[in-house]
Formats: sequence, structure tokens, C-alpha cells
Amino acid sequence: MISRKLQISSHLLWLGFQAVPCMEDVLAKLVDEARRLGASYSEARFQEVATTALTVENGLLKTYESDKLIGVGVRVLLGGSWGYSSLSDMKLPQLRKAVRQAIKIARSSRERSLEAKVGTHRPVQDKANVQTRIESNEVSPEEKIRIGVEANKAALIDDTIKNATTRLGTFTDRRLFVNSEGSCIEVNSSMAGLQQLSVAVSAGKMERVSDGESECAGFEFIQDKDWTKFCREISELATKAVDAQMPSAGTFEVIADPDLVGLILHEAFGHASEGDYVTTRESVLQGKLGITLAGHDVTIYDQGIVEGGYFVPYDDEGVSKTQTPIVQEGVLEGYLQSRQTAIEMYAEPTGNARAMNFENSPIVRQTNYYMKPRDYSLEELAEGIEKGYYIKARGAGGGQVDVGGGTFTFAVGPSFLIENGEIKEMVRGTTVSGMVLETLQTIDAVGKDLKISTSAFGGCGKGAQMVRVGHGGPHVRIKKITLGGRT
Amino acid sequence: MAQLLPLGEKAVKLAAKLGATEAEAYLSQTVQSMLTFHKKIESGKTSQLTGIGVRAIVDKRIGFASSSSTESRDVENATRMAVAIAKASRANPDWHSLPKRTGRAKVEGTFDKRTAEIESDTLVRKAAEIIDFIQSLDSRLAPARGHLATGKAICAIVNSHGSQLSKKGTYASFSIRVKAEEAGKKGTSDEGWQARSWREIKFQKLAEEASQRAIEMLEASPIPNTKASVIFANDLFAQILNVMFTRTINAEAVQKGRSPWIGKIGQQIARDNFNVIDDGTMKGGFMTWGFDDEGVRQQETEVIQDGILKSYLYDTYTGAKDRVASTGNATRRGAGIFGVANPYTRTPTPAPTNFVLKPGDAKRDELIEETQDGLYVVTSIGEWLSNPMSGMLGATATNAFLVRKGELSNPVKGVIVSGGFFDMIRNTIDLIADDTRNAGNFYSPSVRVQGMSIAGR
Repeated sequence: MISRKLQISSHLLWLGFQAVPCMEDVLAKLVDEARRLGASYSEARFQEVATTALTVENGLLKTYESDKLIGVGVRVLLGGSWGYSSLSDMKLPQLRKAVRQAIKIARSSRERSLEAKVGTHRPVQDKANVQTRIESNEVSPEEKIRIGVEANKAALIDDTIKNATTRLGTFTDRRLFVNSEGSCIEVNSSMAGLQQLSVAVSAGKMERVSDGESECAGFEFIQDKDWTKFCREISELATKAVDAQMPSAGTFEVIADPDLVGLILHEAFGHASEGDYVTTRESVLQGKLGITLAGHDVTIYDQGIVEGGYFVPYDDEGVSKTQTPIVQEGVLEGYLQSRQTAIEMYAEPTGNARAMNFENSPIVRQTNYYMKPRDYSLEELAEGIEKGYYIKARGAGGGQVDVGGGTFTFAVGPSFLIENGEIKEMVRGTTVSGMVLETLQTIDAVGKDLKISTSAFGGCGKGAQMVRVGHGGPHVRIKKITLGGRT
Repeated sequence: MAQLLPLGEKAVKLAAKLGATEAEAYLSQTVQSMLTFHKKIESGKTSQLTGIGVRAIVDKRIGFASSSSTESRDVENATRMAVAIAKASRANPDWHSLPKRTGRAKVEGTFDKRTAEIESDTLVRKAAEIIDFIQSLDSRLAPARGHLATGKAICAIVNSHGSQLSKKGTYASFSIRVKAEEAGKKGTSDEGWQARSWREIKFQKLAEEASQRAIEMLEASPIPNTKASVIFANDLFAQILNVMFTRTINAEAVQKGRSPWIGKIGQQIARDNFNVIDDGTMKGGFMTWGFDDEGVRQQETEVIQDGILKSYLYDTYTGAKDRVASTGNATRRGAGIFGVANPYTRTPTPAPTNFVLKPGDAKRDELIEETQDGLYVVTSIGEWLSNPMSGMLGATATNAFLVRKGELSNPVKGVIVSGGFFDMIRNTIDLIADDTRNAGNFYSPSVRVQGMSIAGR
């Protein structure tokens, strides 16, 4: 027993972040080297990520995985052309070689380059951390397994539940940024979360419902919550949903819950407001600044730090991320910008250049995208809906947008029929679709609640990069949205 | 590239010393080059990543740890961590053993020397060629987003039953989104290709197809709600097969109660025109390898024959539980618990290799000619959100065309095509073409489905 304990504690030391000696200095050397080789601007990013993830299925621990990822990425701008190189080998000669490779790439595309510019910015020295009470990496595997197994067993409520899978995950992500302007920024983020999938079978039909909760926090987020209750509720929802009817196919008036509003904003509007889609004239929002695109009640922000969201104090270009108004009282106010797209649009960078990890150069991404609440209660929103649906995110699974064509789609979880202003029986989850510009315009009432959430288990994909985002808002009523279903 | 096998051997030996009854090390090294462009080149990059994942078993208790650093000290730390996790774990009564019979199938077309040697300047030249070509076709056209990538990987597997294997491979991919603009109207269209070698990709032909469709889509609009035949283009249906089978046809999903195919072996689950194989050895296949991600020979497995479900896909663990041999389907791919994951960070689970819906005897044009009233869907979004458990399929069409009296007519976008997938394969897929194409490791011809629900305006 004793030896086992000793062993584990020594490994936890390995998982804990030990400052790599003078990593700032190494990055500064790489940035200088790039300048010597002709770069007009350069930046180097170091990253160290530790994750643990366990999966419990039908009462049994299936896997417990622990990973440590470490590496450096170098980006150079030379004659208006970008070059990027990354590697997980931390030896200085190899890192220097990566700088030369980035320079070579930039040179090779010089003639056809964007003539990119990044402007000049004042150097920033800062360090920002997610506040944690209990370091996830210091919690023993036994404790994590215990919580995961208990939560999972609670989800096995009866014979209709044929599968219950519980995932518990934590990570810490340390990012260090140094650029040729003299900035040096360290961001330490950490997250914990739990996700439950329940599969119910009834009368030959099968349905799955999954949901999770995560927070930028330490392990206290896991310890302070009753996960047995959370997992049981998801199984209960699955057993109800399996017997529910499909909704009717067609275009309806709906109320969307806060999580779904977040998803709709993210897909239907967020992506189209990303500066890179705008400068390429690909986005349907291109050329629409100052134009009224939504009702007076609609105000949308992208914000780096907000309760319930992901933690983005700085983006991966070292630009501080604060609150960016996108839509103010229905009018398109701005786009999400990187340093480069900002220059192209005569705007200021908004801190939205983000990279999945050190292997990727930053591209324009959302951070926490949400709608500001107004004054309606849920009951008031339902009033006046003759036939429609109360569509909900729990068990939804995500969405996608065709930025150019303006079509977006997402899956909704088990939802409810609304008839004559009253919320009635449950219907099965389905596919929902709309047009970017239309949907915002048909939001005719905005609720007074506000919920923003993020996930440790997924994120937003773009250009083969996944980044964590947050989204949310109040309940809203949408006059026109298309539901897939039975005809 | 580093010597991976000796590192693996070291990890396996150390694990044994620390008390592991069995151990396995999976190591990989990848080098990738990528370029993104629109009218101009946006950025190019190269990335190099190594990694080791160690699976340690202590009396039926399993632990796993991985690291992107293959420095001696980090390999040792990962191994120690894997053993510590195993010791902290609970026994898995179904654990049998790591694979004892490992080996290599004869395969072709997995490594292309020229693809392995491609550098950024080749990607730049190709991008310039594509940009110029699209703009030369029609003044309304421009490339909106293009992506070129090549990669090479080496991988080694060492286990405590004496297995020592290594393999190398290449891949190349191209995707292009073309937009057309005219008098305030916009049309966009996507094309792409994924292959094991660069020369296999017909860049110009793909760019031309996307360009032509982008112009056609200038006039696209939704249509009213209806019920009609739907023709799914080959690569779109390949993606639908991926959504509907990847998470459910593997033996793990079946054993754990999360598959609609439970208890269906030997039963008619589809029409007799529906034949599916999982072919891990097909020449140049996207997931063709000599051995799978735990060192077992890849093979061809009949999955659905004349509509009858013949087999699930097995790795060693799930095979032992059902008392059958592994079908060589252990993979470490797929979304990790935290989104995109590198294979070395994952423990193996069974999943398709090259999953192939066999071609039928119709021509693609016949699918259209024989349709009185229908919708031909070329691209969609959100099809991946469909539900493989309930079989509820939903895809929002982004590039589609009405079919009237056997001919393509008005362009359509923004309608949801939905239906029950189980009913589709059992009853309503009445025509299967012979124009097989892949979307990643899924291969499918175009198919026609009768009476699908189309939700529009």
C-alpha cells in the first residue's frame, strides 16, 4: 500500500507544471533568430498541456488516460508572407531549425502572398491564471475513478437504460507568448468537467441523450457538485425521449433555451462575423456594418472572460480580449478581428486570433459569444404561439454553418410542442435549420434570464483546428425556423 | 526520424520491472505540411510531432499514459504513470490479454516516396495554379478557401508478448471552396479529395466541378415542404455511412448495449442490393495498413452481404469477449475525450478501416434519368449530427438540384432532408450507382432513396 502511494505521488509531480527553465529566454532567442533571418515580425509560442480523462461504462472503468503535450510553434512574417513551423522536440538546435523552416515557407509564398501586415502594438508583459482551489493534477486517480464510477452507477436507473457512459476529464493548459515587439504573456488555464451519455431502449426503439457540464476551474468543480443526480436526470430524459414522437417537418415559430441560443448565435452569426470570412468576402455579413440586421432587443457580445465561459484573457497573438460588441440593438457594430484582418478592415484587433495548440497558427475565432438578456419570462415568450416548439439543447450535439451560402444547421435535443401558448408534450430531438440573415431578424422577443456555458469535451472546429468556446444567452422567441421531422 | 522501436522496447521492459503483467508501447512520428489560400496564399506551415502511449496491465487492471516528448526521462515518466494508473484502477473481469498473434498483411499503396518529399514550394506552386485556373474560368468566380496538405508518419508497436512492428505511410489532401458573385447574389460550392499519394488527386477537375456548381448555386433557394426521392452524391453518402456505422458496427458498442445492431447477426437488415465490406488491405485505401493499431494483421471483413449482417468489427479485447479472433480493426483514431486527438494519446478501440458500400449496377446518370420528381443532393451540412442509435438522419442541403422528369433542374439550398436510416437500407434505397468515391476512409457510390421528407419553406 505504501509503495503504491509513493509511486503515485511521484508521478503527480511529473504531471504538475514545473517551470521549464527560462522558456521565455528560449522563445526570445527564436524570435531574434527570425528577425536576423529577415522577418519583419515574429512570434514564438510555447505550450504545455496535461490532461486526464477517464471513461466509465455500465458501471465499469473502461479507460483512464493521462497525456502530456509540450511543444513550440514559431510564426514569421517576411515580405508580407507568413511562415509557420512547430515541433514537439524541445532541443535548441531543433527549435532553431524550425525557425529556418518557417522563414523558408514564408519566402516560398512571397510572390503570391496576401501582403499581410500586423501593424505595431505596444509590448505587453502579463500573466493571467484561472483561479483554482484544488489542482486537478494533484487529485489521485483513485478519487477521480470513485467519482466517475459513482456517477455512472446512478445513471443505470432501470432496464430501459442499455448503456450509460460517463466521462470525467480535467486539463491544465499553460501558454507562453513572446513576440518581436517585446511582449511576453503567460496564460494558465485549467478546466474540469463531466459528461454523461445514456442510451434507452423501448419497444424496439433506441434513443441516446448526452449532456455535460464543465467549468474553468480546478477539481473543486467536480467535488462540489452532485453528479449522481446529474447523470440520473439524463437517463430519465432518455427513457422519456425514446417514447416521444418526432416533431412535424416544416417551418415553425419556436422558443430556444439559453444553451441553444448560444449554439444558434455561434453557428448562425458568430462564424459569419469572423474577420477572415469577411475580408475574403465569403461571409454574408460582409459590407453590412451599421445596418440593422435584427430586432431592437438583440445585442450580441464576444467576451474573453465571462462567468460560465472559457478563459481567454489574451488571444494567441498576445492581444488582450475584452468585450467586443457585435450587434447593438439590432445593428451590426463590428467583426471579430486578428491583427491582420483588423488592418485590412481599418479596425482594431479584438483579441480573436486563436490557435488550437502550438502546432497551429492563430486564425480568427470566437471566444464567448452570447446575447444580452431583456425582459420576457418563459411564459410570456410562449404566449401567442399557436403551434410551435420549445427547442432545447440538452442532448443536442452541435451545429454547422455554410458561411458563404448563409445556411446553418444544428441538432436539438428532446424538445416540447407548444400549442395555443402552452408548453405541452415532449418530442424527439431533431435537425433544425435556418438562414443566417433571416433568423436574427425573426427574433421577436428576448428573455430576461442569462446562462453561458462551455465544455471541456468539445469545442468549435474551423480549418482543422478545435478551440474551446463558450456561448449562451437568455430564452428567445424566433418567428421562423425549419425543423426536420415527419411529413 | 528517431529510432522508435528501441524506445518502445525500453518502455515495455520498464513497465515489467515496475510490476506490469503485460505492457505495450505505441510510438509515432508525423511530419505534415499545409497551405491555406483564397485568392492569395494565406499561410503555410510545417509541423512535426512525436509521441508515445504506454498501456500497462497489472492483473486485469489497465492503465494508460502518453507524452509528446520521447526524451528518455519522459518515456520513463509516462511508463511509470501508466503502471501507477493500472494499480489505482479496478480490475476489468473481461480483460484477456494484449495481442499475442501480431503480424503484417501484404499491402500496397500506403507509402509514396514523392508525397513524403513534398515541401512548401510545391504546395505554393499548386495553389497558384489552382487560383489562376479558377479565375480564368469565369469572371464571377474566385477561390474562397483552399487547403493543401501532405503528411508522412512512422509508427511502431512493441508489446511484452514479443511483438515488434513498425510501419510508415503518407497522405495528401486537397479541399477547395469556390464562390460565385453576381449582382448581389452569392453561390458557393466545395470539393475535395483525400488520398495516400499526391499524384492521385485531380486538382484541376475538382476545382472545375466546384466552380461550375458555384455558378449554378447563384440561383439556389429553398423549396416548399415535400416528400420525394432523394439522390445522395457518392461522397456525401460515404459521410452518412460514417455517421451511421462508425459508432455502432464495432463490437464494443454492441457488447456495451449502445448499438442498434445488437443480436442482428445473420438477420436481413438491408435490401439484398446492400453489400458492405471493411477492407483494411485495399490498394491505396485511406486506412490501408499492414497491421492495425495494436499490431494485428488488417484484413477484409464481410460486414453486410446481400443485406444480411455478417460480422461486427473487432479488436483483440472485444474479440476475446465474444470468443472470436480480432478482425484487425483496433484503431486509436477519432475524437479524443478533448476533441481532436493524436493517435498515441488514445487506447485502441475497434473502428472501421476502409468501410466500403459495394457499387451497384446503375450509372450515376440513370439515378437521375429514372427519377420523375426528386432532389439530387451534392453537399450538405450537419449530416454528422444524425443519430446512429435511433437511425434518425437529417442533412441540411447546401448544394442540391431539383430533379424533374429525369432531368436536373432548379438549384436548391437550405432544406432539411430527413428520414429513418434503418428503413432506408431495408426498404427505400432502390438504386445504387457504380461511381464509388471516398470521404476519408468511407467509400460509397451514389444512391437513390424513395420518399424522404424534405423540410423547406
